[in-house]
Amino acid sequence: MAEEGKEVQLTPEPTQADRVKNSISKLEAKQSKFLFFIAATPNPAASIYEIYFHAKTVQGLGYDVKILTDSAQYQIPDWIEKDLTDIPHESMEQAKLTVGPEDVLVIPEIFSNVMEQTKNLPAIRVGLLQSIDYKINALMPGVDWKSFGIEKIITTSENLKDIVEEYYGKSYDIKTYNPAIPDYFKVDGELKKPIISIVGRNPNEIAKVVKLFYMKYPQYSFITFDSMLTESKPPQPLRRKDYAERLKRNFAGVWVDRLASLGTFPIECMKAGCIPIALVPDIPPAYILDEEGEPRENIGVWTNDLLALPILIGYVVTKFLDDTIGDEIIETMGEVESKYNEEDAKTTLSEEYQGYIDERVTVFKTTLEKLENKEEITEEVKQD
Amino acid sequence: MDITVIIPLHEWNDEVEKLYNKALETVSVQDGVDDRPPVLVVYAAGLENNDSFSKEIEEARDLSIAYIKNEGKTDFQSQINLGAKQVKTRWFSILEYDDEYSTTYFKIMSSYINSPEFKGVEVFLPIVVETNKEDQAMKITNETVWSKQFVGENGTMGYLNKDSLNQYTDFKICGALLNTDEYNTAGGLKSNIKLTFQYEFLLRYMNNASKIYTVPKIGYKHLIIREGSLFDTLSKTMTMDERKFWFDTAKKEANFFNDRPIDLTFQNKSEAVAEQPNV
Repeated sequence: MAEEGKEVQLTPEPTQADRVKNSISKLEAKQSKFLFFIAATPNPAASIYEIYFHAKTVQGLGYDVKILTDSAQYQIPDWIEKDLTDIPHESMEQAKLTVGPEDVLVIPEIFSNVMEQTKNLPAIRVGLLQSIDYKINALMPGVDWKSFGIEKIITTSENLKDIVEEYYGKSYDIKTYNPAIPDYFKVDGELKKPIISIVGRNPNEIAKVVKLFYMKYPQYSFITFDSMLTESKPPQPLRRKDYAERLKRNFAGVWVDRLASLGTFPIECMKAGCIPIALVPDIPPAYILDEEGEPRENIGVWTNDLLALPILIGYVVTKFLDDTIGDEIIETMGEVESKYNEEDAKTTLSEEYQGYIDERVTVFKTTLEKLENKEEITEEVKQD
Repeated sequence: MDITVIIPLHEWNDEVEKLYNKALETVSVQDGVDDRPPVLVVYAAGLENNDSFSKEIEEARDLSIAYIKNEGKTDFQSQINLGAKQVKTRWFSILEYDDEYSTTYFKIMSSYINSPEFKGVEVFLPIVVETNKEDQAMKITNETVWSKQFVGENGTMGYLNKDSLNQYTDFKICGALLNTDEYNTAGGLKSNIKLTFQYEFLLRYMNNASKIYTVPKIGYKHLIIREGSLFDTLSKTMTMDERKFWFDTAKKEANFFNDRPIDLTFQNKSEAVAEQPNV
């Protein structure tokens, strides 16, 4: 309350047009905040790496970027290179953030709760879809991201886009890009060892494949399967750079992951000059099909039958030992993996995220125009 | 190419001629390399009296072949040692006349000897496929160093180590790539040692802290036992005690560079014991 006898200067309440102008100037001055939500995972996962890659790419555009973690105990993954994770982190529990219409929230598919909790915020909200399995699991039957007001999606393949459009409708604004496999995966004349990397979601299936292989081919008992962990006791997950080094030394990589949506491991293998021997997941990766949707040749060995894997491993081992793995396989794998490079991924993601900002500027400018016209009319009416 | 091929020959007949030509063809027909290695054929004196062999010496081939007459001891080891002294390249490989190289042998081996990663390695063993006379694969050899259980916790996969060589003896040096200087300095193969001369050679290298690496490719095809060959004769005539004697001898002699005379009295005693009927 003003003191008696003193003159009080009242600041006029900002009009709606003022607020829109303010947002436009913030958007144009790159003062938007980008908040990326992330969940702690016990094991290294390509999906986590990808979120950091997005965040770093946006930071490179000059925006203020923050990682919002699902718990205060979240530990920055040490298996990812530090220059990718040196972004401010804050836990969702403790974060006291204010977000405006110029800000952007990037929410991975597992956080359907966050999607719901943030539905009344004025920020741009983007659903990051890397796994259709996680998306479906995180939603109640009959509920969709639209129920939370999310219409913008960034996803990692055309296949995932098609599935979303098939089951959730075509009204989403879906942008796709090819995730980047870092350049340090690229094989550089390393001489290969008779060791096979083996990764998968279900340890029982992995054990089954290995045991059947040794039973079928006792003469290949010297072949080692590498579960891609450290040699320490107990074994720990490898840092991604060490993981790449290991892959570059091994001649093949067995992959059993029915739920995978993209299939990062086979691409990593291809980059590392390692022959993928894989079970085709429920969603076949786009890169294993040709333009007609038929299985592509010379991109490793793929099967729909888990029990065929030991025999296919035996086939590849023989080819490796006989040195008869054809150049065409190496060439075709090179063609596939070259599409998953850092430069292209950065360019596409930069365009996509900047596109959200530009789109909002356009919307706000239109709104502002309308508001200003409305104000002019009101003023004229008052004068009349 | 910094590799020479040594072929020891101690006999000559139609079958040997056929096999010898086949072996030479595998030196000639190679993928992934532009040039071919020089070949040194060390033959037992007297073979030149055979018309067919003397024609062989005169025959022009697409390979550079030098023939060396061996007038001293004509056993396998002595022939290789004589050849190794004449080698002018940094590396040499032993090709038995009844064996074959794989079609990418020289491409693969060149990539290893030219790799900085393997600079200190003195012997590159290929994985050897052993076949019977019907050319059926019976087993593979030299591959064990890639087994984690074989190399043990302290060993490095791919490299032979002394502990594991004490436990497991089945390694073949035919088809291996041997560093010429190292071979000559270490005394080569010992002709006084029968049956286990390859084992003794590898043990000696291990004692000398040399590095022996198995290239994980099938590079060499070895006829497992050819009728009438030294190993055929030994396998048919040697008792278990005699075998044990030669393995023990190899372990003992591996501490010496020179080819010392072997005291065979123990062997004879063993034989005598072995021949006594059970009471």
